[in-house]
Amino acid sequence: MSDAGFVVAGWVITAAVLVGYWLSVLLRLRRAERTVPPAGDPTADPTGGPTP
Amino acid sequence: MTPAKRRSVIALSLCAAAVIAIVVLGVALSGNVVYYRTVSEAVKSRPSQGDARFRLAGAVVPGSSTETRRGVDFEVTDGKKTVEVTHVGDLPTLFDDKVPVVCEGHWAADGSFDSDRIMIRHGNNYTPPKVKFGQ
Amino acid sequence: MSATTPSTTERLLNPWVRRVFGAAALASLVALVVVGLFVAPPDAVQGDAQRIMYVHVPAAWIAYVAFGVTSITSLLYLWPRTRSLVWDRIAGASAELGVVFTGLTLVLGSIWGRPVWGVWWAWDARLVTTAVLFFLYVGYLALRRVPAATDVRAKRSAIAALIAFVDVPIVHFSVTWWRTLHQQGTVFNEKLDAEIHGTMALALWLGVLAFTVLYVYLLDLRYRLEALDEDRETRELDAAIADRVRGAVGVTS
Repeated sequence: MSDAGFVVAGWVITAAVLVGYWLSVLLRLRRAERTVPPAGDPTADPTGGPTP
Repeated sequence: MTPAKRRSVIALSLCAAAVIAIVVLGVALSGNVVYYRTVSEAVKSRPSQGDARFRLAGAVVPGSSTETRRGVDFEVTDGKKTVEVTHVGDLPTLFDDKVPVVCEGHWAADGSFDSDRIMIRHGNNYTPPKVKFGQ
Repeated sequence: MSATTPSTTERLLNPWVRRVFGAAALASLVALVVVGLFVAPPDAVQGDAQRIMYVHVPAAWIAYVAFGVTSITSLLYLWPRTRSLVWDRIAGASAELGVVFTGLTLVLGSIWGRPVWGVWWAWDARLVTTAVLFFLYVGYLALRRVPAATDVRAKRSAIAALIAFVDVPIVHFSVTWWRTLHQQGTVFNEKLDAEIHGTMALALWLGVLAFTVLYVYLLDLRYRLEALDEDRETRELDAAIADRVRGAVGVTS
Protein backbone atom coordinates (compact mmCIF):
# COMPACT_ATOMS: atom_id res chain seq x y z
CA MET A 1 0.00 0.00 0.00
CA SER A 2 1.34 3.42 -0.92
CA ASP A 3 1.33 6.37 1.48
CA ALA A 4 -1.81 7.68 -0.21
CA GLY A 5 -3.57 4.43 0.67
CA PHE A 6 -2.82 4.94 4.37
CA VAL A 7 -3.97 8.57 4.21
CA VAL A 8 -7.26 7.65 2.51
CA ALA A 9 -7.79 4.79 4.98
CA GLY A 10 -7.16 7.11 7.93
CA TRP A 11 -9.51 9.85 6.76
CA VAL A 12 -12.23 7.42 5.69
CA ILE A 13 -12.09 5.74 9.11
CA THR A 14 -12.27 9.17 10.78
CA ALA A 15 -15.35 10.10 8.74
CA ALA A 16 -16.95 6.72 9.43
CA VAL A 17 -16.35 6.96 13.20
CA LEU A 18 -17.63 10.55 13.48
CA VAL A 19 -20.73 10.03 11.31
CA GLY A 20 -21.32 6.57 12.80
CA TYR A 21 -21.18 7.89 16.35
CA TRP A 22 -23.45 10.82 15.50
CA LEU A 23 -26.02 8.45 13.97
CA SER A 24 -25.76 6.06 16.92
CA VAL A 25 -26.62 8.89 19.34
CA LEU A 26 -29.56 9.96 17.15
CA LEU A 27 -30.80 6.37 16.97
CA ARG A 28 -30.49 5.81 20.72
CA LEU A 29 -32.23 9.16 21.32
CA ARG A 30 -35.15 8.14 19.13
CA ARG A 31 -35.45 4.83 20.97
CA ALA A 32 -35.23 6.54 24.37
CA GLU A 33 -37.88 9.10 23.41
CA ARG A 34 -40.34 6.31 22.62
CA THR A 35 -40.16 5.01 26.21
CA VAL A 36 -40.99 8.38 27.75
CA PRO A 37 -44.48 8.20 29.30
CA PRO A 38 -46.82 11.10 28.52
CA ALA A 39 -46.47 13.77 31.19
CA GLY A 40 -48.81 13.50 34.17
CA ASP A 41 -49.99 10.01 33.31
CA PRO A 42 -48.52 7.50 35.80
CA THR A 43 -50.42 4.58 34.24
CA ALA A 44 -48.29 4.99 31.12
CA ASP A 45 -45.34 3.51 33.02
CA PRO A 46 -44.34 0.44 30.96
CA THR A 47 -43.71 -1.64 34.07
CA GLY A 48 -47.18 -0.93 35.46
CA GLY A 49 -45.98 1.53 38.09
CA PRO A 50 -46.47 1.31 41.84
CA THR A 51 -49.98 0.43 42.96
CA PRO A 52 -51.38 1.65 46.24
CA MET B 1 -32.55 -13.41 35.36
CA THR B 2 -34.34 -10.05 35.46
CA PRO B 3 -33.30 -7.42 32.88
CA ALA B 4 -31.83 -5.26 35.64
CA LYS B 5 -29.77 -8.15 36.99
CA ARG B 6 -28.60 -9.10 33.50
CA ARG B 7 -27.53 -5.50 32.84
CA SER B 8 -25.69 -5.48 36.14
CA VAL B 9 -23.79 -8.69 35.28
CA ILE B 10 -22.83 -7.40 31.83
CA ALA B 11 -21.67 -4.06 33.22
CA LEU B 12 -19.64 -5.66 36.03
CA SER B 13 -17.96 -8.12 33.64
CA LEU B 14 -17.06 -5.21 31.36
CA CYS B 15 -15.52 -3.45 34.38
CA ALA B 16 -13.54 -6.59 35.21
CA ALA B 17 -12.39 -6.95 31.57
CA ALA B 18 -11.22 -3.32 31.57
CA VAL B 19 -9.26 -3.88 34.80
CA ILE B 20 -7.63 -7.03 33.35
CA ALA B 21 -6.71 -5.15 30.16
CA ILE B 22 -5.14 -2.33 32.19
CA VAL B 23 -3.11 -4.79 34.31
CA VAL B 24 -1.88 -6.61 31.17
CA LEU B 25 -0.89 -3.29 29.57
CA GLY B 26 0.87 -2.22 32.77
CA VAL B 27 2.91 -5.43 32.81
CA ALA B 28 3.74 -4.97 29.11
CA LEU B 29 4.90 -1.41 29.74
CA SER B 30 6.98 -2.18 32.83
CA GLY B 31 9.83 -3.57 30.72
CA ASN B 32 9.57 -0.83 28.11
CA VAL B 33 9.56 2.43 30.06
CA VAL B 34 12.98 2.96 28.53
CA TYR B 35 12.05 1.96 24.99
CA TYR B 36 15.57 1.88 23.55
CA ARG B 37 19.26 2.29 24.45
CA THR B 38 21.61 4.60 22.64
CA VAL B 39 24.64 3.05 20.97
CA SER B 40 26.97 4.24 23.77
CA GLU B 41 24.71 2.84 26.49
CA ALA B 42 24.39 -0.45 24.64
CA VAL B 43 28.15 -0.80 24.18
CA LYS B 44 28.72 -0.04 27.86
CA SER B 45 26.25 -2.70 29.01
CA ARG B 46 27.42 -5.31 26.47
CA PRO B 47 29.31 -7.53 28.99
CA SER B 48 26.24 -7.98 31.20
CA GLN B 49 23.75 -8.17 28.35
CA GLY B 50 24.80 -11.55 26.88
CA ASP B 51 22.51 -12.40 24.00
CA ALA B 52 19.35 -11.09 25.66
CA ARG B 53 17.10 -8.97 23.42
CA PHE B 54 16.95 -5.18 23.62
CA ARG B 55 16.41 -2.18 21.35
CA LEU B 56 19.32 -0.20 19.96
CA ALA B 57 18.85 3.37 18.71
CA GLY B 58 21.11 5.47 16.54
CA ALA B 59 21.41 7.14 13.17
CA VAL B 60 22.33 5.20 10.04
CA VAL B 61 25.94 6.02 9.10
CA PRO B 62 25.86 7.51 5.56
CA GLY B 63 27.11 5.10 2.92
CA SER B 64 27.41 2.20 5.38
CA SER B 65 24.38 0.18 4.30
CA THR B 66 24.68 -2.70 1.86
CA GLU B 67 21.76 -4.87 0.87
CA THR B 68 22.11 -8.56 1.61
CA ARG B 69 20.09 -11.51 0.44
CA ARG B 70 17.85 -11.52 3.51
CA GLY B 71 18.06 -7.91 4.68
CA VAL B 72 20.66 -5.21 5.03
CA ASP B 73 23.99 -4.62 6.78
CA PHE B 74 24.70 -1.12 8.06
CA GLU B 75 26.23 0.88 10.90
CA VAL B 76 24.44 2.94 13.55
CA THR B 77 26.02 5.72 15.52
CA ASP B 78 25.06 8.11 18.29
CA GLY B 79 27.98 10.39 17.45
CA LYS B 80 30.28 8.78 20.05
CA LYS B 81 30.13 5.05 19.42
CA THR B 82 29.33 3.10 16.25
CA VAL B 83 28.04 -0.45 15.96
CA GLU B 84 27.67 -2.75 12.96
CA VAL B 85 24.16 -4.09 12.49
CA THR B 86 23.20 -7.22 10.58
CA HIS B 87 19.51 -6.91 9.84
CA VAL B 88 17.42 -9.82 8.61
CA GLY B 89 13.86 -8.96 7.62
CA ASP B 90 11.82 -6.16 6.09
CA LEU B 91 13.01 -2.56 5.92
CA PRO B 92 10.74 0.42 6.64
CA THR B 93 10.25 2.54 3.51
CA LEU B 94 11.81 5.59 5.19
CA PHE B 95 15.09 3.74 5.97
CA ASP B 96 17.93 5.87 4.62
CA ASP B 97 21.30 7.46 5.42
CA LYS B 98 21.27 9.61 8.59
CA VAL B 99 17.76 8.47 9.53
CA PRO B 100 17.35 7.71 13.25
CA VAL B 101 16.38 4.06 13.68
CA VAL B 102 15.53 1.66 16.51
CA CYS B 103 16.70 -1.93 15.92
CA GLU B 104 15.30 -4.88 17.85
CA GLY B 105 17.62 -7.81 18.41
CA HIS B 106 20.67 -8.98 20.36
CA TRP B 107 24.47 -8.88 20.37
CA ALA B 108 26.18 -11.37 18.06
CA ALA B 109 29.34 -13.26 19.06
CA ASP B 110 31.53 -11.09 16.80
CA GLY B 111 30.48 -7.86 18.50
CA SER B 112 27.97 -6.77 15.89
CA PHE B 113 24.23 -6.48 16.49
CA ASP B 114 21.78 -9.01 15.02
CA SER B 115 18.52 -7.19 14.28
CA ASP B 116 15.24 -8.65 13.08
CA ARG B 117 13.04 -5.55 13.32
CA ILE B 118 13.77 -1.94 12.41
CA MET B 119 11.60 1.02 13.31
CA ILE B 120 12.08 4.61 12.19
CA ARG B 121 12.29 7.12 15.01
CA HIS B 122 10.48 10.12 13.63
CA GLY B 123 10.98 13.67 14.87
CA ASN B 124 8.35 16.28 15.61
CA ASN B 125 9.17 18.70 12.83
CA TYR B 126 6.84 19.22 9.91
CA THR B 127 8.37 20.88 6.88
CA PRO B 128 7.71 20.63 3.16
CA PRO B 129 10.56 19.44 0.91
CA LYS B 130 13.38 21.88 0.08
CA VAL B 131 12.39 24.41 2.72
CA LYS B 132 15.03 23.95 5.38
CA PHE B 133 15.22 26.31 8.32
CA GLY B 134 18.58 27.84 9.16
CA GLN B 135 20.16 27.04 5.83
CA MET C 1 -41.09 8.44 44.44
CA SER C 2 -38.75 9.82 41.86
CA ALA C 3 -35.38 11.25 42.85
CA THR C 4 -35.08 13.40 39.75
CA THR C 5 -36.99 16.34 38.47
CA PRO C 6 -38.53 15.76 35.03
CA SER C 7 -35.60 16.23 32.70
CA THR C 8 -36.83 14.80 29.43
CA THR C 9 -36.77 18.11 27.59
CA GLU C 10 -33.38 19.23 28.86
CA ARG C 11 -30.60 20.26 26.53
CA LEU C 12 -27.30 22.02 27.23
CA LEU C 13 -27.57 24.53 24.39
CA ASN C 14 -30.61 26.49 23.33
CA PRO C 15 -31.87 25.63 19.82
CA TRP C 16 -30.33 28.70 18.22
CA VAL C 17 -26.82 28.12 19.64
CA ARG C 18 -27.10 24.42 18.79
CA ARG C 19 -27.79 25.19 15.13
CA VAL C 20 -24.83 27.56 14.99
CA PHE C 21 -22.53 24.88 16.42
CA GLY C 22 -23.88 22.26 13.99
CA ALA C 23 -23.30 24.51 10.98
CA ALA C 24 -19.85 25.59 12.23
CA ALA C 25 -18.82 21.95 12.79
CA LEU C 26 -19.85 21.01 9.26
CA ALA C 27 -18.17 24.06 7.66
CA SER C 28 -14.89 23.65 9.56
CA LEU C 29 -14.75 19.91 8.83
CA VAL C 30 -15.15 20.60 5.10
CA ALA C 31 -12.41 23.26 5.34
CA LEU C 32 -10.19 20.71 7.17
CA VAL C 33 -10.62 18.20 4.33
CA VAL C 34 -9.67 20.84 1.75
CA VAL C 35 -6.64 22.21 3.62
CA GLY C 36 -5.47 18.90 5.10
CA LEU C 37 -5.75 16.76 1.98
CA PHE C 38 -5.15 19.25 -0.84
CA VAL C 39 -3.69 22.62 0.23
CA ALA C 40 -1.02 21.57 2.76
CA PRO C 41 2.24 20.39 1.15
CA PRO C 42 3.52 16.85 1.71
CA ASP C 43 6.15 16.50 4.45
CA ALA C 44 9.84 16.39 3.48
CA VAL C 45 10.42 13.09 5.30
CA GLN C 46 7.01 11.48 5.74
CA GLY C 47 5.47 12.47 2.41
CA ASP C 48 1.70 12.22 2.34
CA ALA C 49 1.50 10.06 5.49
CA GLN C 50 1.84 13.36 7.38
CA ARG C 51 -1.77 14.16 6.42
CA ILE C 52 -3.00 11.59 8.96
CA MET C 53 -1.65 13.94 11.66
CA TYR C 54 -4.31 16.52 10.78
CA VAL C 55 -6.95 14.19 12.25
CA HIS C 56 -4.80 12.20 14.72
CA VAL C 57 -3.67 15.23 16.75
CA PRO C 58 -7.16 16.86 16.95
CA ALA C 59 -8.68 13.50 17.97
CA ALA C 60 -6.12 13.20 20.79
CA TRP C 61 -6.84 16.82 21.79
CA ILE C 62 -10.58 16.12 22.06
CA ALA C 63 -9.88 12.99 24.11
CA TYR C 64 -8.02 15.22 26.61
CA VAL C 65 -10.78 17.85 26.54
CA ALA C 66 -13.56 15.29 26.96
CA PHE C 67 -11.91 13.60 29.94
CA GLY C 68 -11.07 17.02 31.38
CA VAL C 69 -14.74 18.01 31.19
CA THR C 70 -15.71 14.69 32.81
CA SER C 71 -13.30 15.41 35.67
CA ILE C 72 -14.43 18.98 36.26
CA THR C 73 -18.13 18.09 36.19
CA SER C 74 -17.44 15.09 38.47
CA LEU C 75 -15.78 17.46 40.95
CA LEU C 76 -18.75 19.83 40.70
CA TYR C 77 -21.05 16.91 41.46
CA LEU C 78 -19.00 15.79 44.47
CA TRP C 79 -18.75 19.34 45.88
CA PRO C 80 -21.89 19.61 48.08
CA ARG C 81 -22.63 23.24 47.18
CA THR C 82 -22.74 22.59 43.46
CA ARG C 83 -24.16 19.05 43.55
CA SER C 84 -26.55 18.56 40.66
CA LEU C 85 -27.37 15.64 38.39
CA VAL C 86 -26.73 17.99 35.47
CA TRP C 87 -22.98 17.64 36.22
CA ASP C 88 -23.27 13.87 36.45
CA ARG C 89 -24.96 13.70 33.04
CA ILE C 90 -22.36 15.92 31.38
CA ALA C 91 -19.64 13.74 32.92
CA GLY C 92 -21.18 10.56 31.49
CA ALA C 93 -21.87 12.08 28.07
CA SER C 94 -18.38 13.58 27.78
CA ALA C 95 -16.66 10.34 28.86
CA GLU C 96 -18.37 8.42 26.06
CA LEU C 97 -17.15 11.01 23.54
CA GLY C 98 -13.68 10.74 25.08
CA VAL C 99 -13.64 6.97 24.60
CA VAL C 100 -14.71 7.34 20.95
CA PHE C 101 -11.98 9.92 20.28
CA THR C 102 -9.31 7.97 22.21
CA GLY C 103 -10.15 4.91 20.10
CA LEU C 104 -9.93 7.03 16.95
CA THR C 105 -6.57 8.44 18.11
CA LEU C 106 -5.17 4.92 18.61
CA VAL C 107 -6.41 3.67 15.22
CA LEU C 108 -5.14 6.74 13.35
CA GLY C 109 -1.79 6.55 15.13
CA SER C 110 -1.50 2.93 14.06
CA ILE C 111 -2.30 3.75 10.43
CA TRP C 112 0.30 6.55 10.52
CA GLY C 113 2.89 4.37 12.25
CA ARG C 114 2.89 1.64 9.62
CA PRO C 115 4.31 3.80 6.75
CA VAL C 116 6.44 6.11 8.93
CA TRP C 117 7.80 3.93 11.75
CA GLY C 118 7.42 0.70 9.81
CA VAL C 119 5.22 -0.91 12.49
CA TRP C 120 1.50 -0.77 13.38
CA TRP C 121 2.18 -0.75 17.11
CA ALA C 122 5.07 -0.22 19.53
CA TRP C 123 5.04 -1.08 23.21
CA ASP C 124 6.33 2.35 24.19
CA ALA C 125 5.10 4.49 27.07
CA ARG C 126 2.93 6.88 24.99
CA LEU C 127 1.07 4.15 23.14
CA VAL C 128 0.55 1.89 26.14
CA THR C 129 -0.59 4.67 28.50
CA THR C 130 -3.05 5.81 25.80
CA ALA C 131 -4.44 2.28 25.53
CA VAL C 132 -4.71 2.25 29.34
CA LEU C 133 -6.64 5.53 29.13
CA PHE C 134 -9.09 3.92 26.69
CA PHE C 135 -9.75 0.99 29.00
CA LEU C 136 -9.97 3.17 32.13
CA TYR C 137 -12.89 5.10 30.64
CA VAL C 138 -14.48 1.96 29.12
CA GLY C 139 -14.49 0.74 32.72
CA TYR C 140 -15.96 4.07 33.86
CA LEU C 141 -18.79 3.80 31.29
CA ALA C 142 -19.44 0.19 32.37
CA LEU C 143 -19.58 1.31 36.01
CA ARG C 144 -22.21 3.90 35.06
CA ARG C 145 -24.36 1.06 33.70
CA VAL C 146 -24.36 -0.93 36.94
CA PRO C 147 -27.93 -0.34 38.15
CA ALA C 148 -28.16 1.71 41.34
CA ALA C 149 -30.10 4.62 42.77
CA THR C 150 -29.30 7.72 40.74
CA ASP C 151 -27.40 9.56 43.47
CA VAL C 152 -25.40 6.46 44.47
CA ARG C 153 -24.40 5.87 40.89
CA ALA C 154 -23.55 9.52 40.31
CA LYS C 155 -21.30 9.63 43.36
CA ARG C 156 -19.38 6.46 42.62
CA SER C 157 -19.03 7.42 38.94
CA ALA C 158 -17.61 10.81 39.92
CA ILE C 159 -14.99 9.20 42.16
CA ALA C 160 -14.07 6.70 39.42
CA ALA C 161 -13.78 9.56 36.90
CA LEU C 162 -11.29 11.41 39.09
CA ILE C 163 -9.19 8.26 39.54
CA ALA C 164 -9.19 7.59 35.77
CA PHE C 165 -8.10 11.16 34.99
CA VAL C 166 -4.74 10.55 36.72
CA ASP C 167 -3.67 8.84 33.48
CA VAL C 168 -4.27 11.92 31.30
CA PRO C 169 -1.18 13.90 32.41
CA ILE C 170 0.80 10.64 32.35
CA VAL C 171 -0.17 10.14 28.69
CA HIS C 172 0.64 13.74 27.82
CA PHE C 173 4.05 13.87 29.50
CA SER C 174 5.06 10.27 28.74
CA VAL C 175 7.04 11.47 25.72
CA THR C 176 9.12 13.87 27.85
CA TRP C 177 9.36 11.76 31.02
CA TRP C 178 10.41 8.54 29.32
CA ARG C 179 12.15 7.42 26.19
CA THR C 180 9.52 6.56 23.59
CA LEU C 181 9.33 5.74 19.92
CA HIS C 182 6.53 8.30 19.72
CA GLN C 183 7.76 11.81 18.93
CA GLN C 184 7.37 14.73 21.32
CA GLY C 185 4.62 17.30 20.85
CA THR C 186 4.79 19.89 18.10
CA VAL C 187 1.78 22.14 18.71
CA PHE C 188 1.48 21.46 22.45
CA ASN C 189 5.24 21.56 22.94
CA GLU C 190 6.37 23.20 26.19
CA LYS C 191 9.80 24.20 24.89
CA LEU C 192 8.40 25.51 21.59
CA ASP C 193 11.47 24.14 19.80
CA ALA C 194 9.64 22.18 17.11
CA GLU C 195 9.40 23.65 13.67
CA ILE C 196 6.30 23.43 11.57
CA HIS C 197 5.52 24.90 8.19
CA GLY C 198 2.77 27.58 8.08
CA THR C 199 0.17 25.73 6.01
CA MET C 200 0.75 22.51 7.96
CA ALA C 201 0.23 24.40 11.22
CA LEU C 202 -2.95 25.89 9.75
CA ALA C 203 -4.25 22.40 8.92
CA LEU C 204 -3.48 21.19 12.46
CA TRP C 205 -5.17 24.18 14.11
CA LEU C 206 -8.14 23.89 11.76
CA GLY C 207 -8.46 20.25 12.81
CA VAL C 208 -8.35 21.22 16.49
CA LEU C 209 -11.03 23.89 15.91
CA ALA C 210 -13.30 21.63 13.82
CA PHE C 211 -13.12 18.75 16.30
CA THR C 212 -13.72 21.08 19.27
CA VAL C 213 -16.88 22.56 17.71
CA LEU C 214 -18.06 19.06 16.76
CA TYR C 215 -17.38 17.92 20.34
CA VAL C 216 -19.64 20.65 21.77
CA TYR C 217 -22.38 19.76 19.30
CA LEU C 218 -22.19 16.02 20.04
CA LEU C 219 -21.98 16.63 23.80
CA ASP C 220 -25.28 18.53 23.70
CA LEU C 221 -26.90 15.68 21.77
CA ARG C 222 -25.45 12.97 24.00
CA TYR C 223 -26.48 14.89 27.14
CA ARG C 224 -30.15 14.57 26.25
CA LEU C 225 -29.73 10.81 25.81
CA GLU C 226 -28.13 10.64 29.26
CA ALA C 227 -31.09 12.52 30.77
CA LEU C 228 -33.67 10.29 29.05
CA ASP C 229 -31.85 7.09 30.06
CA GLU C 230 -31.60 8.32 33.62
CA ASP C 231 -35.35 8.98 33.75
CA ARG C 232 -36.10 5.53 32.37
CA GLU C 233 -33.77 3.84 34.87
CA THR C 234 -35.35 5.75 37.74
CA ARG C 235 -38.81 4.66 36.60
CA GLU C 236 -37.70 1.04 36.29
CA LEU C 237 -35.99 1.09 39.66
CA ASP C 238 -39.07 2.62 41.30
CA ALA C 239 -41.23 -0.05 39.68
CA ALA C 240 -38.89 -2.83 40.84
CA ILE C 241 -38.93 -1.52 44.40
CA ALA C 242 -42.72 -1.25 44.30
CA ASP C 243 -42.87 -4.86 43.06
CA ARG C 244 -40.69 -6.06 45.89
CA VAL C 245 -42.68 -4.13 48.49
CA ARG C 246 -45.86 -5.67 47.11
CA GLY C 247 -44.27 -9.13 47.32
CA ALA C 248 -43.16 -8.62 50.92
CA VAL C 249 -46.62 -7.40 51.92
CA GLY C 250 -48.09 -10.48 50.24
CA VAL C 251 -45.89 -12.84 52.32
CA THR C 252 -46.55 -11.24 55.69
CA SER C 253 -50.30 -10.85 55.30
